[in-house]
Amino acid sequence: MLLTAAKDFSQLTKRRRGDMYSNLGRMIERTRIMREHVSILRETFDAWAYDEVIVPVLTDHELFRRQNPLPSSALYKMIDGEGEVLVLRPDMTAPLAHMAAGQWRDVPRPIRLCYFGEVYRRRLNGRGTHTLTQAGVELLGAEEPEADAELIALAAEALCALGVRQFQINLGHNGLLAELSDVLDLSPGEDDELRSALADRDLVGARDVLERRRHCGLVEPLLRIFAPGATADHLALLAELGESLRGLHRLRHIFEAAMDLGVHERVQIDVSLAGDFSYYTGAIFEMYCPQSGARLGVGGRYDGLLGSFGSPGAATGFALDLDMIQEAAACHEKAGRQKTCLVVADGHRRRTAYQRAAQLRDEGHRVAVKMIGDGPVGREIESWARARDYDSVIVIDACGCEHTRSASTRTGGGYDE
Amino acid sequence: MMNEEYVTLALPKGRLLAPSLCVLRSLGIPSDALDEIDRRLCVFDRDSGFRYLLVRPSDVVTYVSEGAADLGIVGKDTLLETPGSVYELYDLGFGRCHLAVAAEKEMAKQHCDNPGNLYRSRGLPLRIATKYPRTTEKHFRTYGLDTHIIALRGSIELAPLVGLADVIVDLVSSGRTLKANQLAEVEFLADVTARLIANPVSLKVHRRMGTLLEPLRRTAEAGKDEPGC
Repeated sequence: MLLTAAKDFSQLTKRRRGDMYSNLGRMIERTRIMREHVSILRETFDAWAYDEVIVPVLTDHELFRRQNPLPSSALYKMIDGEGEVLVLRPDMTAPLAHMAAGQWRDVPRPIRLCYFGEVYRRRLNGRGTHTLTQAGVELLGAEEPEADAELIALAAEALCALGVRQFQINLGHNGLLAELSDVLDLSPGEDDELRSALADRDLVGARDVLERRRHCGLVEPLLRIFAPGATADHLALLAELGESLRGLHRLRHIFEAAMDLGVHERVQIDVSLAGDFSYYTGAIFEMYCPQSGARLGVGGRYDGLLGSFGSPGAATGFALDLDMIQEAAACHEKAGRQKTCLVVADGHRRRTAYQRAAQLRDEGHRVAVKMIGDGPVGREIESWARARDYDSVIVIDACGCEHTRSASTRTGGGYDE
Repeated sequence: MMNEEYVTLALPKGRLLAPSLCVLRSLGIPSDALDEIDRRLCVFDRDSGFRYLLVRPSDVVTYVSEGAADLGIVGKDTLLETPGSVYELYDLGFGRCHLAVAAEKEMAKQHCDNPGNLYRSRGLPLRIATKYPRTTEKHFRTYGLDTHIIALRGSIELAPLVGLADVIVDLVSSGRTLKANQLAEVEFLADVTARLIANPVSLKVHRRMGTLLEPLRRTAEAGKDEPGC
């Protein structure tokens, strides 16, 4: 399975690296799927009572100067007529948090919002893209662990609805490492060592640091939660470290709520997640596809952000990366799509052709019409239609009789060369 | 047995191969399959459900990080060059040596108590030949020196002799190679032993991983105290 996975991944990266818009067919296909995914997500988020909002594309640079996980060099900045610095939104969370802390200060909490659209980030190290298409939700003013679990469940439901069959959700906590180093009484040097070992996935290095604190006898359970695949049982082993590990207890509560929501099988504890995102203050989770290792989305609690805008409050949210999801869902997706027909007629039968096309559209098909000059319709029309990816061709001849020809040779491959 | 139940292990050619096979034998994996590894690059062992790949030591990390192998055995020196791409699970204890900075014998003697002075005495930029550019860069950053790192694939000891570099960063086990080339150790960088590494995804999704890793861990613990076999 893993060998196949590696092969799929290399194809996937090749496709991402190759210009995905070099081919018109592919561009149309990507756009169609993107629209479809957005409409599925809109329904899913709506069913969980999240209201959609549109976030301004140009926003005040100040919003991203406080607790921004992105380096300043990743932002697209410009200057308006009054000399104010504006940025193309690099994420949707900060503008929404700013509104929540300002204009919506008196709106009863919790507020449930969702959004769809592009965010803009400058290519760093020549990798990544300028635009990411995101769909996300924010749950503002809810601090209980059930709120974190709700988002995990909603993310799982959204991915299922999009046809991503295999995904996992890694759950970590941003405060946990700091608390652990307090409880274990690590010196600042050892704390740095532990963090950098975990960031490098160096469990041997982490073990070295922990073994210097041998008296606590918890090296193995600790390492167990540092390695992937940890579950709530492993967290329970650490309960004897005491109440001061609030992050740990929080994770357990979230995990238990996720069990009640029925999504815990998708969830794995991953303490090393904590390192990456500076503005998260509590639980962090990331969705990824186990085959490719591609990250489909990321979310977490950012209670500090509203405070930095002048009105402290709890907040949590997630954003899905629709481009990555499209790659992940692509293999399952094509079977159920609508048929596209081409109606061909010579000029004398134009009205018949238009009527027939309208009728087919009523039946739910996608239909294009092509008029040809006088003369017989030869086989070349089939290859013409095939090249343009029509599923079938309906030819209306000079007597008004109808002939159906199949143009499709595809076997689910669709627009890929 | 389903294909996906196989666990693929990448083994390094060269000095770590024999002790790696020792560890596998001590886990009760039948040795006839292992004996074949010298002759074939890919060996299936149906009984244990393992598949072994024999690859260049510096390629082990690539095989594991790209998912072509689930597990691998590799020296810490290689891992220092590619941090974060794989999980480093256990210190297997064998293949012990260390990374060090070395320079010409006379020079090393002169500055034996302060390597910093030696580096500064050479004029800038300090030219350093090594197989480990990343580790070297990271180490010399602490001195704040202007350095020029010369990446070589082998015979590093030659570089100072022919004036290609002022100092070298290389693996030292007995020190005999350094001595034979009129070099001496100046500064210690890091301990190196063989490590068991794992693909992050395999570790999460492979059903056999849990049962497999426990005996390996115990072997690793035992191997720490008595290296070799």
